[in-house]
Amino acid sequence: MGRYIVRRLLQAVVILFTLSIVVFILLRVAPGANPALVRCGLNCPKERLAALEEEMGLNGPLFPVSFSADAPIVDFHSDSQYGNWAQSLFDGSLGKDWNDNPVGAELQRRLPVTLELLIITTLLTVVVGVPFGIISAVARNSPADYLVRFSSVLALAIPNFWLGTLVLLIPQDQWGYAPPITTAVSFFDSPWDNLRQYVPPAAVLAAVSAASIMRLTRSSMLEVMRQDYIRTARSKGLREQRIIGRHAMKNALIPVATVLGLQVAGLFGGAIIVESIFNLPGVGIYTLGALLQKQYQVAQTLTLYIGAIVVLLNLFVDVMYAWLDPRIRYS
Amino acid sequence: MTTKSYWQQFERQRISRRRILAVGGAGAAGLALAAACGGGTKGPAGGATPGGDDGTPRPGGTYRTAITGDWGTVNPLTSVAFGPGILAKMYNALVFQSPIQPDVFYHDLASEYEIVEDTTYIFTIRPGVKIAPNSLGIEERDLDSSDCVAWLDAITSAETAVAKRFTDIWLDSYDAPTPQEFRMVTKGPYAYFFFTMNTPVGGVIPPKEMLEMDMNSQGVGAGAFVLEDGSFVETGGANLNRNPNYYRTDPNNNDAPVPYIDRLEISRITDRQPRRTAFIAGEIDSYDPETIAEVEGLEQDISGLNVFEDPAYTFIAVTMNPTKEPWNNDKVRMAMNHALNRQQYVDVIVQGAGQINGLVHWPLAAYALSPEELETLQPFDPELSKQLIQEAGFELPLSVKFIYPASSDIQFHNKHLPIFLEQMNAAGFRIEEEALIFTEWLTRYTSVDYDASLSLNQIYETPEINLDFHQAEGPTSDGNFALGVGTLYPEVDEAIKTSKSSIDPVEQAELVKEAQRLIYSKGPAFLPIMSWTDYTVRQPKVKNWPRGLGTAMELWQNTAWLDT
Repeated sequence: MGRYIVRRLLQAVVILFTLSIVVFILLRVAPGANPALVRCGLNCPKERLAALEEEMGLNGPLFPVSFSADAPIVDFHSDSQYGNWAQSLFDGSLGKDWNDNPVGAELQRRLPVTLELLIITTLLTVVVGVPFGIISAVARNSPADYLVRFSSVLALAIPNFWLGTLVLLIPQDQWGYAPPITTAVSFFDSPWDNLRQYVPPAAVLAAVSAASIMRLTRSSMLEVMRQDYIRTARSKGLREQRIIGRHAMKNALIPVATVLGLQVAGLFGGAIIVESIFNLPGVGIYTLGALLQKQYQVAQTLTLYIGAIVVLLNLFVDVMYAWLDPRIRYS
Repeated sequence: MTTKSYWQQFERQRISRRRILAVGGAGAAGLALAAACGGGTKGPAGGATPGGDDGTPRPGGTYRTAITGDWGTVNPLTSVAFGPGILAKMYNALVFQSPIQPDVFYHDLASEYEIVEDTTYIFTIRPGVKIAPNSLGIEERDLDSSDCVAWLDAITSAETAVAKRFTDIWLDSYDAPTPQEFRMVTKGPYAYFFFTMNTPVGGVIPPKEMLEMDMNSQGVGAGAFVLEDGSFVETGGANLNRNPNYYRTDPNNNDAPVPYIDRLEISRITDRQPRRTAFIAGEIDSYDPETIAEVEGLEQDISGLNVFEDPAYTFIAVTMNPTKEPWNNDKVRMAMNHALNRQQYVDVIVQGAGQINGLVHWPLAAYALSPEELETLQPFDPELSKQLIQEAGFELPLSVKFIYPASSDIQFHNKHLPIFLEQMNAAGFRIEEEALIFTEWLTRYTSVDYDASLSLNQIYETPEINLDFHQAEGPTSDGNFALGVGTLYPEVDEAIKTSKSSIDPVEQAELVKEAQRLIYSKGPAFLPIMSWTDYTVRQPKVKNWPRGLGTAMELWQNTAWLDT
């Protein structure tokens, strides 16, 4: 297992390096306005635009190494855009945006917001998805089963941006109620306001993920309940509750746990929408803003950051899968 | 619902001699200016701020509002995004002239000014404009003329300073003969001097010590408020506290010190829905409804709501490239002028809450042509449009290429487009559409890589940029964004230049109108469509908020108070 982990980590390094090159290039070749123009504003004179481009380092060589047909064929650049960015990653500063604000400081401010959102979302997903999936499986083809399955399809079908807007709009319209919107409230400053602020968007995000988990749990339970050892347990006279709780659930939840881990990675994308609707100053909305404003440094760093999380989460899920199921062995 | 502005009582009381002229046009305001006095023109002295008619002001309270995007720093030299919204609160200008009511001056750092030979501006620096308490180590001293010199030194040496464009084109010299006297000399008479050099966008004066520090995320000045340490987040909000050293008082309230409000809390709420929710829940004190219907809905929800209606100093225009066929043909451009049913945009997009524009938009009443005159210069006549196209030697329908952003956050941009396309089809044009993603459209629009396009909208608080769109080198005088009909008719450039060269507002307004008439006769290549009414609503507790001054002037006012 140790060798497997080391091998996966080395693969992760290669994956992330490739990702860094791809995102670096894509940001620059994607059609769109010159970031200096976005920053300069409207009616920007050419001189000011040129000065901003120089200040923003947009005129320097892209990579530390360049090739040309003329001599020198290979040229090295100590001050390249990619090189400067890579250096900022390694020295921990993570670079600065166009207004000289450190990306690291912004991440430090925003990561707890997104993390809390994702933690609450995951908790809600598990608390809602797993029990209802089990109920649906155990009470197969009953009214409860139909209701749970209908609800899960509905939750999967409703776009979360629409649901999020309704979650905000209806309480405000009917009862004059709104969660805190203007600033992020820390749990340690006011637990109640913090939960008022984070639970609604988390619930919106969890609607889809819980629905998926619900359906997966149901199908996984149904498969496990058909196994011989379950039949044996019944024939031994064990109570149904004990069979479900002690024998079936443990095995049924193995695939659920692995999918849940992968879902968390996907939640980063969904978080952008709810962060925007509920005005949570998280990493998602920061990334979106950076992409829209052509903040190269910020967008590159955050994309790589999220990529690293996804890669590591995948590794974690694979390792956990082996731990949960002793039959699995990695060479 | 709306209350009469009290602001007209101000400043004019202190002008000893004046020349009052009536100006026609929708929403026109009277023009007045202090007359010549000796060899120059003395400006009115200022100093105090008026009270209002909402009761006796009380100090205290926190005013909360929200911005919808990034600040773009709070650097007074370079900030162009949301930053200028608080720069006017943190710093000072010399003398700011309301662009929409040219007789209204706001005397801040300069208590008086004198204009000699139309090019030399001599400012008397007001004593007692004291820097706020701060943790940046800057002494709480009075600002003086050396700060003005340092400010212009910084602008002229910083390639990225917003005001550098002005200093490069117009500024001849500046000096400070004494600590209480500051002098600027322009290369020629410049009609928009006070607005351009004193606007919060690049025209506020920080203490000279600040110019040696990082001003992107911190700052302290002698303005009404001071930025709270550590509160500014480029992608978030900011808090400002009242400057206890602020010099202004309220003469209508026994010279009580202003600002009355203790604190400004500004958060960032990008999306409209959460912003609206925050306003209804009382988490913020102001909100920007999109339509009158939304305003009426909010009035039902919140009793005593303060509703502010201001003309939007912005518009979307049809931009034609007169260096490309067929737009290099006068008759084709004139055909476009007559193909536009501007009133339809007003009716459909804003349900009548707006007016059609001429080449200078109607909110700039002193400079805009009257609706009656516009009716003769740009009547909607699709049959005439077809006739002109044929007279130009083209067959109907005339195919023209047109770029536009497929989707845009620019206010009402998306709503203009389908109306435009439909109108063109009916008037003899066949539009070959080229929909682009917004940033790509912006790149092409900026580099004038188009035959025709919708324009950006932006805030035009003087007619200067409106007219500059028609000059040969476009609004930035360097060939960016648009090329005007001045490429075909040099006399247009001359007329535009002349319209900037008078500092007499009455004469200047007439020159602006003459320039417009000339451009119409040549077939304009930049056609503003309509300007609408902007709505802002504020909580009932907000009292004495200034009205009718225009956004830029409103920023300087500090007599609002909170009835909490």
